[in-house]
Amino acid sequence: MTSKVFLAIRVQAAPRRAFDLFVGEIGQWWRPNGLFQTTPRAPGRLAFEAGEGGRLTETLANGKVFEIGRIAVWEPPSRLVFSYRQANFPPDLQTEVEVRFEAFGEETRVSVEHRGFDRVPVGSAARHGFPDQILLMRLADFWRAHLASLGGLA
Amino acid sequence: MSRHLKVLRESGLVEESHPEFDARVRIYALKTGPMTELKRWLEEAERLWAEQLAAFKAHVERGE
Repeated sequence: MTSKVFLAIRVQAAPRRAFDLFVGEIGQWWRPNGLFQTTPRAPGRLAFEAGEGGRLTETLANGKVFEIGRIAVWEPPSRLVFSYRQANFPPDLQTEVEVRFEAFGEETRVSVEHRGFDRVPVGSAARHGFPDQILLMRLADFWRAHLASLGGLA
Repeated sequence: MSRHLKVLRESGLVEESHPEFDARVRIYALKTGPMTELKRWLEEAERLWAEQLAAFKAHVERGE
């Protein structure tokens, strides 16, 4: 089973500029997301610390700083790898994001590979690592499907 | 074979049961729940990055 996500997009900029904006201005372009909330609180501002070992942090409105991950590979302007963890991830789930910047004519192809969703985290089978609200929706889907198949048999 | 099954059981992908008449017999059944969860994680991650990359592209091109 594939356990990673791969997406690519082309942007009108040279790789160097795309890399610099990706890292340096993430606080301006990153959009808060419902399920992939990095923390349970109101979304804050993301920032990278440049260089290998640098942190990706989210600074919340109350001034608290949450560490999302750390930069494992720093190869400007072509490659960036960082660990990625959200507050709602189970403790044993570590994921990693690799971003590549490749010249494509005048433009840059920016690709993202998010990997590490290899397993159902052991010890959290009941919750599957999802926030309760989401899990309830999933269980509702599960039962709806099961009841439908039972209905078909009756 | 039993070792492979143990790994699957520990990762929550199969469940084990014994028939009442013979405790030596083990019945393994595939649990669809965890597989579905994994698939959902991936779908959500894909949606997240689609949104973020689109936002990034807009940001880069707005700043030209």
